[in-house]
Amino acid sequence: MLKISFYIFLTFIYLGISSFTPSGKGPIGIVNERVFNNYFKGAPLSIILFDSFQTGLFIKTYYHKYKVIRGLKSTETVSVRVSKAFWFKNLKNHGMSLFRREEKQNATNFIVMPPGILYVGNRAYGQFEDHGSEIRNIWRFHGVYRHFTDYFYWGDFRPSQAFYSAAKYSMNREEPFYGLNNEFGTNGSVTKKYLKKEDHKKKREQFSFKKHLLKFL
Amino acid sequence: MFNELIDKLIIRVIFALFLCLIVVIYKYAHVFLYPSTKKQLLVRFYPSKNATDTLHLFSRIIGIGLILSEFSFYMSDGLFVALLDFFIQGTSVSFLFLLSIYIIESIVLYNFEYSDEILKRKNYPYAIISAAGAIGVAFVLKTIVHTAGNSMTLLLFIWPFAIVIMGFTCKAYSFYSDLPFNRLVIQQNMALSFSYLGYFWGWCLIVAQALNHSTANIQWYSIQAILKIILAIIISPILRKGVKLIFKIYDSEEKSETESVKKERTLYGPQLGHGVYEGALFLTSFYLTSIITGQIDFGSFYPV
Repeated sequence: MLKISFYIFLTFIYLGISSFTPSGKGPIGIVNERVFNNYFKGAPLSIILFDSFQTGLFIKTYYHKYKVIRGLKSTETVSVRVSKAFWFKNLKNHGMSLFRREEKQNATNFIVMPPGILYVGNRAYGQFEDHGSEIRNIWRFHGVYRHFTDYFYWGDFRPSQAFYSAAKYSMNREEPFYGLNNEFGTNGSVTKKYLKKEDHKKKREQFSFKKHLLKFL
Repeated sequence: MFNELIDKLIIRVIFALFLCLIVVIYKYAHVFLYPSTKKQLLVRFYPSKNATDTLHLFSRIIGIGLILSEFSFYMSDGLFVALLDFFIQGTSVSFLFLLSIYIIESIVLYNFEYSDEILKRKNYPYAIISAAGAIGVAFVLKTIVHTAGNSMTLLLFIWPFAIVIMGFTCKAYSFYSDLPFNRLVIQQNMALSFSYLGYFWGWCLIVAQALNHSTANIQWYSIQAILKIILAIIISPILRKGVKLIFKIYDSEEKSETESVKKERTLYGPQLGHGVYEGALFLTSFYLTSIITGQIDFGSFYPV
């Protein structure tokens, strides 16, 4: 009994010390969207869920990969640990903006919205224009912000006035918005087409046992 | 081309003679630090006269050979510089080796004297335990030299750290084996010597592996080493029990079930077979533990 207690104690000591080493610390942990405000500073700020994956064989750890966009400053990609509930909750939100902070009064918003919605409607970044007689009131970024369409994985998509109004309406009702025709989100047509992320499942499926065993010959 | 070959051969002979010079320096350093071994080293030695003395002496010679094998000669800056580098490193490491043996023997064999046990009583267990200590320490010191590279500062940082860990492992023998150490050395019981040999060499393997990692972040170096040792303490019982179960090893002396076995053990001490089994089990389990503690590469299994 004494031996077992000693080994259990030793195991806790090992896990405790390991968690303080640089390799044991790992990325920051995020429980839910409410803590984004504490970890990500600056404005304007938009956090887009780029990818989600899990690691571990018996005990799973859940991760999100975010693209953090801060206006004209360079974007950064961060990986964070998240809670299991938050991970499963956002499985359908790939390519969506989970958190935004405006320049005006640093107002924050946690409602799941299409990427780039923070800048759409803001005349400092662009305006709604007519493109020919058939395409009316389509958002166009000013020249210096034209690369934003790449940041947000829009591709050829451009939000219309109707799109923007519907997004604002959903935001006021505190409901997520995936586009007028579900263009965004994990199963959104625009996201599926333009959001290129690392396919971890595909990578494992490319592994061939036969090729691996032939290495021994 | 032929000239070059001859030249290289001559240089190699010079290095071999220089190695002998380092061993001579080691011999006189040994006498300086261990005055009681003057008879062993300064006069003609007859190996067949006293086998325990032979074992005692040659364990140290093997040890110094083991340590010096870690060094290399770099001829790019010339022969003199290569010899100078080797002289500085060789002599400093030889001193550290002698100091290490002195410390370890002070911890393990503090109740015994070389002159009594080797010269007078020809105590084989004492000789084997001393030999185990010398060779084990040499193995660890070799790893320390490899990890420290050419840095004497790192060497002098890692060495005392390693000696402290080895001191604790020596003292921990009583937790792993129920053989009464001091009593059995006095009784010249061979079972103890083999048990301790396996135990000490197994732990030297673990310690050497724990010390063998990057010193880029010196702050975390010692913590990483301690973590590997704690992990070895946690994992080794699983492997020890596993080997015993797989081979269905049952040693009656472990449980001492019958009265006759108990009586025999009290009178004659443990059997040689028990000592060999214990030592071999320690060595095997620690060898296998070293795979778990030092040879698992998680790679991109945990990508973050």
